[in-house]
Amino acid sequence: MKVPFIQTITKSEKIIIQKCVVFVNKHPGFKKIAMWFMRFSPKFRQRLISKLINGPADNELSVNSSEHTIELNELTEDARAIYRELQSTIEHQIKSN
Amino acid sequence: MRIVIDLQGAQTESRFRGVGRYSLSMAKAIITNSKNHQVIIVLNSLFPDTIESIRAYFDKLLPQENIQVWYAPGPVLELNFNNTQRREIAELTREAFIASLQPDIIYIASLFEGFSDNAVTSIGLLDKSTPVCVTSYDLIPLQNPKLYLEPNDTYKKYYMKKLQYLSKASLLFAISESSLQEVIHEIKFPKELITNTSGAVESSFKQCTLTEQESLVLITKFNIQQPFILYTGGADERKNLTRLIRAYASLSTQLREQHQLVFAGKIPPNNIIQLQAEAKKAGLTEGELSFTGYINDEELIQLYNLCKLYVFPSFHEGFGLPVLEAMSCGAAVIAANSTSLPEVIGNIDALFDPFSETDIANKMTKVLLDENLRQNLIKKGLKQAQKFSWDKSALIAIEQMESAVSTRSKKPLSPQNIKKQLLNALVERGLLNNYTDQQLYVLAQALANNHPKPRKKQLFIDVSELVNGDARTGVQRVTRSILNELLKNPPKEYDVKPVYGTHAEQGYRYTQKFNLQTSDIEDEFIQARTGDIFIGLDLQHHVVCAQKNYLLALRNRGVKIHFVVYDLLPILMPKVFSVGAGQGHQQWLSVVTQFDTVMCISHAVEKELIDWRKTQTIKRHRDFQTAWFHLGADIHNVLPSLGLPQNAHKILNTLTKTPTFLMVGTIEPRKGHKQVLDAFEQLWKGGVAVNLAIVGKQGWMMEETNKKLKQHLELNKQLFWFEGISDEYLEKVYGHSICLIAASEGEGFGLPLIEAAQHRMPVLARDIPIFREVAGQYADYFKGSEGEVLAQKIKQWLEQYKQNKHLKSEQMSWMTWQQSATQLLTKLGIN
Repeated sequence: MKVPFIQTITKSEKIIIQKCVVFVNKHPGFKKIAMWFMRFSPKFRQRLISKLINGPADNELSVNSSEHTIELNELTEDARAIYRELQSTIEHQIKSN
Repeated sequence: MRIVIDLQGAQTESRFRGVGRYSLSMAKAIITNSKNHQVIIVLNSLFPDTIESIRAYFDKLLPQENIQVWYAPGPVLELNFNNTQRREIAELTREAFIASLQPDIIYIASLFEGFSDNAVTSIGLLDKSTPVCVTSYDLIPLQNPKLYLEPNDTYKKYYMKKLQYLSKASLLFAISESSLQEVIHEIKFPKELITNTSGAVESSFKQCTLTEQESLVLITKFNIQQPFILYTGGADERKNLTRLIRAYASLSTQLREQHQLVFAGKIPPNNIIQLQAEAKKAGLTEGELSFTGYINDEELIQLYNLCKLYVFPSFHEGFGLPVLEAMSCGAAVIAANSTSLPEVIGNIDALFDPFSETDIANKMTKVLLDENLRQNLIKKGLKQAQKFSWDKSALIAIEQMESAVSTRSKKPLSPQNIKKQLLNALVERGLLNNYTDQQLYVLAQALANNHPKPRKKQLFIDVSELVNGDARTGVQRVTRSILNELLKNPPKEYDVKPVYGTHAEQGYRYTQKFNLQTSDIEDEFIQARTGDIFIGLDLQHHVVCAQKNYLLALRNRGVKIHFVVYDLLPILMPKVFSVGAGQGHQQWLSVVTQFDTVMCISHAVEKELIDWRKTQTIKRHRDFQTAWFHLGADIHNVLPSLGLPQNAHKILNTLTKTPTFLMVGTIEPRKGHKQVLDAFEQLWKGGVAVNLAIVGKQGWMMEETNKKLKQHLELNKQLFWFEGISDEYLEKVYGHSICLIAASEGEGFGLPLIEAAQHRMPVLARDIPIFREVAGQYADYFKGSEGEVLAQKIKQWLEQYKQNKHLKSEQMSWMTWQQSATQLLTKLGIN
């Protein structure tokens, strides 16, 4: 099996990565260069993967990583029915608590 | 017994490694040896780019409907702490989906996935009753915690959780005796529940003789300069490549000069840099090592066959698949005397101590210098390789599964309640706390894909142009007619659903345009599922191109996607179409030919399509399928438009008085109007009494001809132009003419020929394949592009006509739209 080679990072390394991420987010053109450079450092890559590729988890909403924000009427009929079921299950749970 | 195989191991990065190869081969062998058992493969939709290649791998072995895809909101990789909530939702979602397939047993081909990718594996979170068996490859991180677990808490937590799942398995399949012992000793798994299923290699890994040309291509591509020692596999520490490089460096200069060390396969760039630095430190020069990068199976097999020696120094393996591959290809193989490798290699002479550079170097030297020993290794290797077979492995696994199922005590989850149980579990575990509506929408859509309402399979008929505007061309006429027939006589197992897309949004919607009752409700997006079929019947280039990714996602879900191709004229005859038409058609064709079947409206178009495709490099995983069907021609079954102009009677009388030749079709360059008009001008000049009646709207790029027609001296005397007339009037014009001239230089089908036959009207057609296909021996043909040639032919024809010796068209065969729709469905395998 493949075992990822990952190391913990020091506090100063963390600060460097954070600054790097802020810079790259402001200047997306540098993303590729940063990725290319960081590929040689597994521990930097680990952080970059989570920050640059995955992005903040809350922003990743769609089923297949589309950035489109969807509306209820854009769901299929079946999905709307499940959404209503989900809501009623949640409400039921709140009431029973 | 229904076996559900979770094949995410063939979807993640593992697909480039032994685990992925093992997973695919084992699943294939289980299918081929399953006898009366049913096998369903489940795949993760968060790896969309891997699904079609896996479907292709099992094509013809397993019905496509037995490959099911499940959905969950992503990303879910454990590496990112922010994904925890989503991953836990995905774990339950996956288990619920698999339970909905009502398996008797679940086989997880690779459990340790999902740390740095979106794989999701778990056991017993929701479904606690179905037995689960798992292939256990190795426990390397557990045995080397300092190297793999202690440096990273997140990875450790992930790994320990997977171990907990592993301990919940009903059965374990170890890939070697060594791996089996590891599981017993390390996690105290009950001995009686573990079986050594061993492993094997695909039958393509065999000895072959390469031609000089093939060898040259290979060694040039990978910059190999001399006989070489080969290594294939990963580059993590246990692979022991640093020692291999040092051992190689300690070979005599002469041996090194005669043998390069080649590392084949995908090795991460940082590892390559480290290995190159190691080589430099050991005194090696640049050309002595070669890194090929990613290679495909064919190249790998060739390299195994070409190498002088294959060396595998890994000190920890679960099985060591590359060793068996190399032996099967007739390579002289030496390997480390540790873990599973001795049992795979089965020859003590081929083993060395992986922790001793001297021992590695000595063994390499010995084999490279002693040809007898080398030949002996090859011979024994080939014999040993025969002991391993996927069939054997699969039969052992199936036997164990049968036994586990027969002793199953717990009742399976009720399929009706699975969705409800899942929703309850999600809520009870607090996994939806603080979830926004947006997040719930996404989750609801994923669950709807996983658990669609029970309904008949759907046959989606794309009618985009009819809904979005209706250009009222021949294509829309076909679309309307076929749809009409399918709605009247739907195939037994399907509901026929007209659908449309636009270029502005992703996804197709059901249209209510063809329902008897109109409604103000907005058209719903389609809810597709495995087994549905989509036929791209209407022609809207830009919509299909815009919907390409959506259609690919539908295909991933198991929806078959077919397209109808009407012609390739804009590509084959670009000069007679407006600028850009050919390019647009080309783009559209390159999209539609990526899907399941392309149905052409004639055999001639199918041939043209096949020829065109040979000039393209469109990547496909499955074979390219084409077929053809013929269009219907029962014009009487289509509601005709009505209306005659006031002077109709007078004009029709004129047509009757003199033999009238009829042309039907839009006036555009390829239709041959210019040549026909030239021919008739010559006939008129020569005093031949004939009329020419042209029925058709003004098209494009024909301004000069249009002007000429409008200003012609014979207009309304011997030349008649009917623009935009009703079907009723056209019928009458047919009835008052004696011959149809079909002068088009290119057509997809040639409906006017059949319409003429239905009017018992003789046909004089240009000699092109499609007219031969449609009219056969029931038409007369002409060649050449000069007016004079055609004028001569018309004269000859008139002579034959006078003597009643001309070819009659009554026997020309044609189909009704009902027959056409049936033929379309039959050729697509839809009953």
